[in-house]
Amino acid sequence: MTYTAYMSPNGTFGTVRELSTGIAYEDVGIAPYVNFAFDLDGQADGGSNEGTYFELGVGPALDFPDSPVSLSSPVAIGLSVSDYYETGDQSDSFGFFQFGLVAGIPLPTAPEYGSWELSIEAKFIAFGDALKSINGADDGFEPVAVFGLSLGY
Amino acid sequence: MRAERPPFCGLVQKHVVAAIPVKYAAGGHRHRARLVRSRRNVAQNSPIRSRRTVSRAKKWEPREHMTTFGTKSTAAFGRLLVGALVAVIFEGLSPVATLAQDSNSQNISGTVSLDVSHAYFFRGIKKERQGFVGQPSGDLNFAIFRKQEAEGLHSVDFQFGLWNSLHTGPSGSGDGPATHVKTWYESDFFTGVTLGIDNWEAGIIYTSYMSPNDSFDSIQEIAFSLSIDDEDRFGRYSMQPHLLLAVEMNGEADGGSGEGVYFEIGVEPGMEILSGDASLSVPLTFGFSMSDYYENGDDLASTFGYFDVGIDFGYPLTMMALGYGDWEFSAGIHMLSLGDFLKAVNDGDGVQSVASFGMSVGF
Repeated sequence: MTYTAYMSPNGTFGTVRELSTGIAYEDVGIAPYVNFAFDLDGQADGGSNEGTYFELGVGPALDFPDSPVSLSSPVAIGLSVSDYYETGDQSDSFGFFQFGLVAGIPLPTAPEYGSWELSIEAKFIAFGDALKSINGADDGFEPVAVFGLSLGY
Repeated sequence: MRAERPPFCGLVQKHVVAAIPVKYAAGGHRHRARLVRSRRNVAQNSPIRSRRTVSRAKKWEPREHMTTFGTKSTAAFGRLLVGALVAVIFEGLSPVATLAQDSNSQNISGTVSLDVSHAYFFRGIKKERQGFVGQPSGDLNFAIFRKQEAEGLHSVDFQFGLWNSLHTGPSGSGDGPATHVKTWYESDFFTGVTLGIDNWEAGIIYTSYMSPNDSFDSIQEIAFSLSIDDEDRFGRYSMQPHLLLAVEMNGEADGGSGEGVYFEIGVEPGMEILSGDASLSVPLTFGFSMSDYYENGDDLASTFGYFDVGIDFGYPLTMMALGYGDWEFSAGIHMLSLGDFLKAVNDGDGVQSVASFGMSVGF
């Protein structure tokens, strides 16, 4: 269970307080999970009511025994249980469908400085009508690339 | 914004992490050297690992080393830093790595802390003195270079972190200038390098002071610190003196008309108490404006900023289970005597008391 306060120091959106919970099962190949999130105060969609969000996804890993690089192909669908994706007086149930490919590349750093990893992710998101309207997008499809660097120690 | 504490000079053992003067307590009056208290600080010295005890067994070295700081040592440091950074990025044996392998230690440490107070003064400048002030922070320290002997240049550390100040008083509510994220008065990013040279410690720190609730405009600052561990020379009468010079590059802490330069000098004598299970120190600090640091753009300006005297108490929580980091409780009470400018900023009150409590965990 996780409490999150989403805040915008530059004032782009109002603070949203959320409580979320979920279950993940990683011992099977596709690593399925479900998440529920409840707006306690404020709305992520900028609508008029606090909403409830539901996400269902999998994160199957692709093994390459001779390579240190890890690959996974996460797939997720985001739904509004109530008022999470509001446009005007309407509230859509379908939010988005997303699939992608994530590569994790361990960096050859000295072990005394922890485990460094570079990650590269390409994901493709298909939006429902409500999110198309909220995002101000003409089409309902958006590719997103993400690069990251992590340190574990 | 915080009031600085000088870094600790003491590097009792080769892996005691050097400090950078970045952590400051509620009220900005108390100096923090949280980065000193890495897990290795705690683990390798028993049972107290406050900064005072860290500074204990430091050898006093001949004065001639002092003169090498700005010349040969500086050049050597440049070469070492470049080499060590390359070694960090690409696997190889840096001097630090070799040392770490010998002792089965690691070269990354961090600290998470929370201080609470009823007021927040930064270098004597009133930020808040009503309601509740909570100041969470976190930082990471990378030991770039270590040498077995604490002679010459024996340690180089790189650090960065975030420091925040959350207020419920006027500066953190709709009663003041705060907008949107109202309680989040301040969020600072800092990064720097600390050098341990004999029993001296020198640091250079960049800090970006930002206000998420828009109470003040962002300030970029470069600060230079120098401190000396005089424990071995003066024993129980050691003063642990420090100097700090902070140069505003963009923005002004005083809200005045020009970027200023701040100078600070202080000492912090201390002792172990409770049979060595806790530490007590009495920091004294003077803060001055070298140029435009305490001015409001009109006729009000002061060279003398403030005098701060306090009592700081540190108590490591050794009852915490192994594997959950090194916890420490701290408390302090300070009295600030403010100069003309700061007195005016503080609603005409020339004397201000600030008490605070804190908890930190090093890992």
